Amino acid sequence: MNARTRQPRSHRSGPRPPSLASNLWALVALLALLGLTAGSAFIPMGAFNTVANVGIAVAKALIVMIIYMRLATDSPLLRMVAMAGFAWLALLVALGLADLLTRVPLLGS
Amino acid sequence: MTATDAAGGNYLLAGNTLRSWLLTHDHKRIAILYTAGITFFFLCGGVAAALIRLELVTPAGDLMSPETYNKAFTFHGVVMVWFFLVPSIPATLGNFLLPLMIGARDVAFPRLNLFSFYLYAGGGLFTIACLLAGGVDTGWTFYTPFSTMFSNTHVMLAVVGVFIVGFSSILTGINFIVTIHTLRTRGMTWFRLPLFVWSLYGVALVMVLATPVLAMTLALIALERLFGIGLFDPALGGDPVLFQHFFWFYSHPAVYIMILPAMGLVSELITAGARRRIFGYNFMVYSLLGISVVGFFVWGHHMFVAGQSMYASIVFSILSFMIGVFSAIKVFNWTASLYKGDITFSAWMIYALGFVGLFMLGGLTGIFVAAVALDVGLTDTYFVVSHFHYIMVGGSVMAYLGGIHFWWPKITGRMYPEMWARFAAILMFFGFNLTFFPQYLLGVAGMPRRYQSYAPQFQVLNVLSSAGASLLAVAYLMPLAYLLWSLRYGARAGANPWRAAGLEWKTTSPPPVRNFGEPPVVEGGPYDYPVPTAKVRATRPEPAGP
Amino acid sequence: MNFRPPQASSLAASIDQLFLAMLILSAIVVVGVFAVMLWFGIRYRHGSTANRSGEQHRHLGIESTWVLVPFVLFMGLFYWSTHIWRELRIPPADAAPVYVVAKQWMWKVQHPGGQREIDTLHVPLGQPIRLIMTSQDVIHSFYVPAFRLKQDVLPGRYTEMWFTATKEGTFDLFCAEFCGTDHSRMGGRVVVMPPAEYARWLAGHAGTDLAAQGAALFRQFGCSGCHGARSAVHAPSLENLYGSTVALSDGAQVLADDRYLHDSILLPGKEITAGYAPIMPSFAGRIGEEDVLALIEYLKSRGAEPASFRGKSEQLRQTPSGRGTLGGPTSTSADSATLNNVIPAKAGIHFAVGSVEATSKWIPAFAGMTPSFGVAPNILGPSEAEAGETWERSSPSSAPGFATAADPTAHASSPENVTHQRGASRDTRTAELGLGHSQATDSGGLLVRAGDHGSSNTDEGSHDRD
Repeated sequence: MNARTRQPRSHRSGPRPPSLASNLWALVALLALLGLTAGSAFIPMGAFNTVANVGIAVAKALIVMIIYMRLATDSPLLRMVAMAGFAWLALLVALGLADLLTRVPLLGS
Repeated sequence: MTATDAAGGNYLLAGNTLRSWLLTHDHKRIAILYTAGITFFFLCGGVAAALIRLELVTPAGDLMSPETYNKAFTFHGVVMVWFFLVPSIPATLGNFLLPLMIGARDVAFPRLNLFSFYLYAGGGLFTIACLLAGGVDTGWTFYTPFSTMFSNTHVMLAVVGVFIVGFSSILTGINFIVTIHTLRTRGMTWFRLPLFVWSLYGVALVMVLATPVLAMTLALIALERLFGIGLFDPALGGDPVLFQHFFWFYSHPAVYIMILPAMGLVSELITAGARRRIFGYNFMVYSLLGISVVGFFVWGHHMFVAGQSMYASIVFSILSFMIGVFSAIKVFNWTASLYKGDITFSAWMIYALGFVGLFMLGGLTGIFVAAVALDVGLTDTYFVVSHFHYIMVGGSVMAYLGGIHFWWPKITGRMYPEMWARFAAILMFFGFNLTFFPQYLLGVAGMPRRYQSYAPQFQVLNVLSSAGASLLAVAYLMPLAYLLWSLRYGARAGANPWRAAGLEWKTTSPPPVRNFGEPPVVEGGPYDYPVPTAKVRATRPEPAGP
Repeated sequence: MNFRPPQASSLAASIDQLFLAMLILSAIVVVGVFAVMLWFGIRYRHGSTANRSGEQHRHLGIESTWVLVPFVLFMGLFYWSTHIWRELRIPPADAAPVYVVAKQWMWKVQHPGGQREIDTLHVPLGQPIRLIMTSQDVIHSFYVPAFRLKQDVLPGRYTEMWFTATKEGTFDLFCAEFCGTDHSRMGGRVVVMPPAEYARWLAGHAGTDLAAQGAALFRQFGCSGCHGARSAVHAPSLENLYGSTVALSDGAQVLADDRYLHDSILLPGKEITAGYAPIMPSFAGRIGEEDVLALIEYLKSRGAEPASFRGKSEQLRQTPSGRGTLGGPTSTSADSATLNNVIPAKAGIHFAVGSVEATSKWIPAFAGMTPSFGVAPNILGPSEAEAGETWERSSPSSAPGFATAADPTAHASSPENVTHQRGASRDTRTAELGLGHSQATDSGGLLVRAGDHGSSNTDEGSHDRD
């Protein structure tokens, strides 16, 4: 019963996992952004409300990906996997919009 | 059972306490736990199906109340889709065979494997609880706003059950991907993988990429029911069709979760039955992967009449035709693999050939409903019901049972009674066609699905279908009976009773706990037929004699 | 035995041709593959003496053949089917509108001339008919097998379907999308009549013109209080509104089509006309979809310009980007994302379950409508046969039992509460239906139409269409 002759593959999990403190700071930042989203709903800015909300959402997503998912520090494989997830989400959104944006308005005679 | 080599004894004898089964990390034992689970749910779903067919013998809804009928077909759908078909081949045969086929000792994450079984069991408990509490009547599709605002039944319990079982399938997917990437034995290059392993790889990708969307969609249903957030509620500015986009983004690829492993599995059976290499291995691999990927682009074909834009429908239609091309390649290649073969019609070969025939009928009718103009008339009728039963039952279930027969000696170390098995397989083929072919005609005649009572002109065909269903029920119960019988009374099987190629046949039956003594080394491609009987290379530990 | 229902619409024949072509192709493939399989199975069975020598060659040629041949065939079929699909989706300009409101578990039909029907649709032979459909509650699907047509009917949105009936007779109408307890009994029939007979039918069943009903509702719901010419309230004028382009307060522009008018009544906070304060109350839960349709018909009658408008309509139908040239509703991303409905209304009312006196003009009557019935007559049972003739009977307008079904506060915060409220509204519905049943028995076991819009209905403002 030899050890496997195949070259062992190891999962290199980045330099080090994020510390408890950085996790907590990320949490605080996320909560702050959540507050900002809720707050912005009370300020009428027209179409800019949507822009602001999407911007905040992107910021939140980046925090989660960079700190919680360690995408910045970990191996490129992990980034690739995460990107595949995004590509699939983009697919859902794109083909979903293909429906929503091309619906013909109903006009009576 | 005398396999006492370094690989450990026969896995079945490695402990017979309840604890040794329930807390096992052995992929083979987990596969058996799964088999018990899905058999249980198959029987549950089957009882619901029997009730449905019984109700539909007469045009009037006179056997049960409309609510009960609606709950019966919902239960049938939920259980059969998420608790039988999705885990059926990957979690049982896939779990058992994947490490064996690539020459590994176990999957990459044995504990995760056990955990995913318990998630499956947990989800199952919620579903059973839902049934006991009174059931759910939304249909397995949970369409909004019916499921969110109008159903008074236990939608939440069902949604939670499916939500949980979804994670089981994600974890299985991750486990398989990592296993195939990292644990292939020496010489097992990607293009030497058996097609069954390729199909598990494709399925695992689909599971990992699609199932999270299901979880999200179900969570939104729950939020909508609990808090009325209004995403799908037109009265609050939501869009019910958005739900259908989300739902089918998972549920169409889910169809490929059900059928892809069946395709891979049947490739194994046909090559073993014909003692011939698969015709066009590379094309088989590419078409498998093609279906896995393109399968994500076609979900809108469920929504041609749902209020989707006509332009989106055209896009989804052409993409759906592409799936047809990939499937055609497979059917033709299976047929061509018989050429110059040395064909024996064992029970599992009958299942495999039955699969090819039924899958072809299901696939061809899929082309009908991919054509938008025809789908307008046929969708939501029995034509569609029959179409997907041909794929899922005629396809997946036939393949699953064929696989169970083929690997039964490997899994249990026992032979089943061959004549009974052939009889059951043939009965199943004819019973299936008698059940579901009339349903094509019903759809063409215009009978909508999910009808408890129907117009009298549909009765003849419904009676035929119900008659077929009773044959089918017998055909499904027979394997259950004789396979259980064989566990005790069956003849002992040698390491390779079918003289099949493939690494799993090079170890003992049943395999030892760690699968192989020495890690096997692969020197050639898969399906290395014909294998001269006398010259099976015995580089592996001595097969346990009967 | 011919399973196919008769071809009763102008497109049925071409759809059936496509079906037949695919059937023949499929049959060739099935027979071919089975024959080859059988031949191989016999010739190369174990123990046969067939010649098995020869290597398996590289088979790129064979493989390519059976990749390319299906591909080309499929593209041909795709082209064929899409060609029919375009015809099927784009109604001719002279199609006559008929309005359909689906409700658990019945079909309500309104003709522009004020004729109303339940579970029956009368149409003339040879005239293109355009159904404009919406649902009061869940998703339904309008399916006429003989026409080979089906269209889902969605709550909060109009979907359309057109056909030209080409065969006289009575055809089945089914609901094809699962819609709850009595889904399988939500059916009816389509009656195709020769034009002369149809004209007689129309005349014999004429009620108040739909636009005139709308005019009455316009006053009854107090719309005229703000939108009337002499109103002191600063509200947009509705003259010449339909088909025009409206500038919104957020800078976007939107086409005032049926959807816009519908949403402006039920979700008034969604699209605020530029220069006006968002003071209009929502009518969600207070007005039924049938009445919204009547109001829209009334607004159309107030100065739409049919000729030029039809031009716009055509343009819009040709290409999705046509809307952009009109300055249509794609102007903001939010609009585009959910074209129909974007901004949640303030009130958490499920309009679908809400029904007030204004909406409850019909009572479904056959026993199958009562969910708790184990044995229910078939939708095509004998009692149905004459339903189309007798539903027209009217009864006192104040039908009892039509209290507001849903409390507008149904969206309570506690989940338990929500469930109970939901249950309660369903129970009320059931009671309604049960009541309908008992009334129906009194009046002959058929459909009862409870009253009209009351005395406020006049012929004033009636609009002659075509």
